[in-house]
Amino acid sequence: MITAGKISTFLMFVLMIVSIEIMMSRAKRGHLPYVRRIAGIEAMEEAVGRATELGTPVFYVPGRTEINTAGAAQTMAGLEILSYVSELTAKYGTELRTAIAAPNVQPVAEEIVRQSYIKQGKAEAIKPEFVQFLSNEQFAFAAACLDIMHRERVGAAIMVGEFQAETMMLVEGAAQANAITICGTSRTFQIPFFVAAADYVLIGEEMFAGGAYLSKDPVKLGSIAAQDIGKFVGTAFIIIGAILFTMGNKTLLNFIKM
Amino acid sequence: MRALGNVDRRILYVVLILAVLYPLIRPLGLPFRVSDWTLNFYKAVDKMQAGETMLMSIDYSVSGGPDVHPQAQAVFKHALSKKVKVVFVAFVTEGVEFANQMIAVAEKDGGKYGEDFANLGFVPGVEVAISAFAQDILKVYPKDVRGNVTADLPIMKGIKTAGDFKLITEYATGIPGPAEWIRQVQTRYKVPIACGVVTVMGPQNEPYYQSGQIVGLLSGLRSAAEYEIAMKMPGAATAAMDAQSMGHVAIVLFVVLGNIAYLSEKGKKGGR
Amino acid sequence: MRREVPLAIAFVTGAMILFEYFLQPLWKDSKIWAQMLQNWGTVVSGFAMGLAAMNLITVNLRRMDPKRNVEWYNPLILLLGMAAMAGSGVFLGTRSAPWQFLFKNIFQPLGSAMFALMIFFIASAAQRAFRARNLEAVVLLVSGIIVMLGRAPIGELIGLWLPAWADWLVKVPSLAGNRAVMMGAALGMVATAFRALVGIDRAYLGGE
Repeated sequence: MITAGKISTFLMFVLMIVSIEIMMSRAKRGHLPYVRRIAGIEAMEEAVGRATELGTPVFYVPGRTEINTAGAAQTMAGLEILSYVSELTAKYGTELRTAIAAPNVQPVAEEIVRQSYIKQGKAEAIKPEFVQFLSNEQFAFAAACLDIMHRERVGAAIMVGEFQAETMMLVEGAAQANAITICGTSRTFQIPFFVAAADYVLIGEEMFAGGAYLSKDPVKLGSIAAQDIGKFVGTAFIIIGAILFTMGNKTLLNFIKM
Repeated sequence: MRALGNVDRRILYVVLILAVLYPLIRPLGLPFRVSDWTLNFYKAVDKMQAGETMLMSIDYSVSGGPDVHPQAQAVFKHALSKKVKVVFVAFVTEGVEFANQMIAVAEKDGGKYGEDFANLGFVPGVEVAISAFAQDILKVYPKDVRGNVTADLPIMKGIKTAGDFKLITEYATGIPGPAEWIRQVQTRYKVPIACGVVTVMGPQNEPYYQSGQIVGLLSGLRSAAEYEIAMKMPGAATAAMDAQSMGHVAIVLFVVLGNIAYLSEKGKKGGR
Repeated sequence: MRREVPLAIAFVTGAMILFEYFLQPLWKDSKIWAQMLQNWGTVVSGFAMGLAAMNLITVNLRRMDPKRNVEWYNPLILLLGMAAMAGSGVFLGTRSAPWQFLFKNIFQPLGSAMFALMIFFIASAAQRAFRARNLEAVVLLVSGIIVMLGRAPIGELIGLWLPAWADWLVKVPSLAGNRAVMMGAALGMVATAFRALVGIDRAYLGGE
């Protein structure tokens, strides 16, 4: 019934979906999960406030990958946070510069910013510069971002999504422009660059939690709790599997290969 | 001491440029060993027999080219020396041109396009395109970059899906990368896959190498140099190793000097 | 309808691909449908590039106004370069001499040069940020130095223990951390993808 070689993956997938459904239902009934304070998320309002006081724009990048790739989840997390940040910039009357590298993200980002401004009653304040497609060529994009950050002397640079080798240029460039930097990615080999050079970092799934954390939507918060269930199961597999394998028992290994 | 910690960035940059330039003019000849990542990649290609077909997916951009292109060049040279046939594909736009450059050199050396190697071209869509390609190559690539019907190329005889290749090698600077190929090709077709990536991606792909999902891993220019040494044909990548060493030494020096200044300032403030 | 139709398309497409991946033996023809959807995805990606090009042209044409932009010549150079590259590729072909000239002598060296500029940003960030402020920072600093030197040929000159330690750092603690973050991120992606599939997350539709 299930494709050979994918049985264990399917079972774990079903377990994950069931967990998400259960936790979302519990959250809808009022049992909200506890989500710890995420410094990077809480600093976003401070960052936008700083840019407002300085009279400079907020620079935002929702990652560099398209919405139809494996990095789409990170891009969507970045777009969720863009929704929050653009509401803040609309509320405080701060300029926004959103840099887009992926062609199919550009119309989505434009619509998100438009909706945020309409929500704040500031539809007439929207400018074309608020969301710009720069380039899908990696370093052409990085060069254009550096130009915007330095030319406009941005007060805050928020970069949440999937990034590649241009990470260091972006975050160090923002630091050299004296902007407060809040960065987040799940790309493990880019996290160290953010940690080294940014003021606040959202590591791994903190950026996925960010959207739920900001929206305070119980359904989204419930799915965050379900991720923890997945992690407990994964950890149990690792510990039990390591012990069994050390003793020469390959039951768990054979189950995973099923 | 404070000045050490607040050195003007431009002075750092000049020191860095000189540190990297000097060994390019006067090579130091620093020796280095071949890592097991590279050795296993080399062995995977070396194991192939004459007449078998290998896929090379050129998925790196022009910016990462200097780091990854030497890997692809070395592997292509190795494959040709063993009379292994090579089919090129690309899932990033620039990949086509890098493949064309390698083919141009091979044709000058007497290789025959369509028989010894072929370039099928670029398909947009990244992972979706890789998945579609893996299932039906001729549907996704009805023609190659030279306008030939793909099914009519002698090199494509018996090659319909990704599972028909003896070995798949992929070279990436971002997306698509090893993870996409493992998800869409290795898990479905169980073809051995070896990957070449930009230096910074190397550690991230170590889990796939350790689990056996990729049989070999090249990480940056250093791996290209190691591959050249394994082939006993040192080339441009090997020559650049001295410059890389000096660059690393310069950065470590900056970090150490910065910390000396920081700790001595901290000590003075603590003393007061 | 404006919201419901895209949500339905997203759900059906995602469910079809998942079904084909896991449960293909139940319905053999699912492979054909999944492949067709993936081919459509490839076509849509191609059109998205055209959309992005239009946005690029529109924004830069606006920026070419000398009254609004002191550096009005930069967008002009961008548009001319774009026209030259696209025009020669479309009308003369990518194997033509002009396109090859532009690619090999302008595009490729510029891209490589930009990548090379990274070393300066890394050096600047390393000198600024790698300070021994506390125990964790010291551990980061020392392991960074060991890996930087151990992974370059100079490390072997210093001593064979250095590359061995660098290898251990990359293959054991760094890999453990990598795997943990990858697992967490993968679970986050599953949850986000599920929310998008069932229509709870509508970021791709442009917000609420």
